[in-house]
Amino acid sequence: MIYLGAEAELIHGIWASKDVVVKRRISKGYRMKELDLRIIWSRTLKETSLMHDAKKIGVLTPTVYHLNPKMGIIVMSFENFPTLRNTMLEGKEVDLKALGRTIGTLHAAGLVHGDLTPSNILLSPGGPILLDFGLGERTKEEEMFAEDLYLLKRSLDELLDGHAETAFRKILEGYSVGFVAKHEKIKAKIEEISKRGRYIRRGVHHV
Amino acid sequence: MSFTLGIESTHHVFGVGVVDENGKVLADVRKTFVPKTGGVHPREASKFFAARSSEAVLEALESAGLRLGDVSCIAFARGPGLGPCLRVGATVARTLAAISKKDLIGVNHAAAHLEIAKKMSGAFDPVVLYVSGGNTQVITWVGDRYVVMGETEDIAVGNMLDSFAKSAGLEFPGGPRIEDLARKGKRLLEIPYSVKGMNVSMSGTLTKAEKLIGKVPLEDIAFSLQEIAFSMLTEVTERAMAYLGKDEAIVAGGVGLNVRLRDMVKKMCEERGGKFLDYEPKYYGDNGVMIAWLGSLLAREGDRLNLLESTVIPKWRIEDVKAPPRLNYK
Repeated sequence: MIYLGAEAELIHGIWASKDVVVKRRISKGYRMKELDLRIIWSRTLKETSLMHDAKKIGVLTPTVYHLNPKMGIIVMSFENFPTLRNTMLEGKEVDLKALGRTIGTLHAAGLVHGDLTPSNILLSPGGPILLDFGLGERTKEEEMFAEDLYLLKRSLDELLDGHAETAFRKILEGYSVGFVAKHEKIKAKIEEISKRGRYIRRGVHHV
Repeated sequence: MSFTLGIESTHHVFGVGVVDENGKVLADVRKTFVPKTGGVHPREASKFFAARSSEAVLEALESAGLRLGDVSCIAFARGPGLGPCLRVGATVARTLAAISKKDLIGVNHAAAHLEIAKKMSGAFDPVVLYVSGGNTQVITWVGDRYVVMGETEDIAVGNMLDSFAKSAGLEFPGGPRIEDLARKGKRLLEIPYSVKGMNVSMSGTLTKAEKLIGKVPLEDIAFSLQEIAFSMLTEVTERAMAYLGKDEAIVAGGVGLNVRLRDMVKKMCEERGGKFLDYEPKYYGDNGVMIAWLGSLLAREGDRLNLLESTVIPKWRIEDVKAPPRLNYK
């Protein structure tokens, strides 16, 4: 077992002689069986389709090997790379502009990740790999893009006291390259959300 | 012993409550406005409040066995709520404070729901699912602030149920009628389930349910509406608990009177090894006791209002309010 969350469990295993992560959505006794099945089915499908959409535009995500929407199971490649979180905690250099560009590319294609914490970002030599699209959405709303980034900003604040500001600025620099059309508006939205100051929220799981 | 009199008048209930400093309830008078047709009209409700307010205050004092001079402070719901309704409560409170020369305390209605729920349930550090006609939020305490972890992106769950009831020709308030019908429903219909992060959205759910009226048995729509909307609420409550690492959950607000909703939250808590803390249902809905109780907590902090600066705040958000120090009620 790698992780047990409110919604899913992650298990590390071997599947067809490959290192894999099995994500299984947990059935909830409080909702009726039929609704439970419906929710698990649609979220499992949505998550894999968002991963697929991200790949199409060159954003790296784990490879889906097997999918059983009825059981809420996704079998995907285990990507053995350090998380952004651990890399930062060890004080190592990170190409934050490349990360920003990746997020910009994702947003420009109308996809939000929904849980962009440093534990959900792996740093591979080929570029950042984004994990867990379980809370992802397809959208055109600037507010949602800004919230995606704001969550990352908040997590960086918690992770690096003092240096978060500089780190986030580099991410935004890269972001403006990835999402040329709207980065200005989205930056303004992030400011607006910070001022509202009521977002201790989102980002449900920390692996 | 010090006593606090609290006045609730944010929506359709004009409530006057009296509590002592330990939160013992000495009076709980409620005058409930019931609209002849449709929903609550602010002007009609406020007229009703104005007509019944003196009677409510006198009844409360009598039931508490106190005279106005025995009360140490007067609390009133300053917002959020309907402007005309809030102003009736505020005027009564100012008058009482002025003639008795006692402190006037302005109380946030949502915070009062949370504090009475915490007090009555014996919870210490819970996540609250606050659900009523005008509000749908998942709130918790972080230090001396209230933090909204999630909320509805459009309409409140109570508003959704009332609107559906109105379209289906059911009487106000719609919630209890829908609950009765839902007990006879069996079939889960295709109605949108919308959770985004820790937020919910209810308007798509309502639109679809309204479109089904007349096409399928009303019992099945009521049943599906409850199952889907309440599952959404339970899910975001669980997400907030998981995120914060808190293991207590309580429900507050009028929609909490729905047995199915409380059952779901209870079941969710059991499954994750947490605790659902219930309390007397009569304190779920709007009442004066909750205003008196939070007023008495704030009075201890010296949080009083100047009469001249005691205007109502119809859109007062709970995040803008300081929470009183946490007490262990166990």
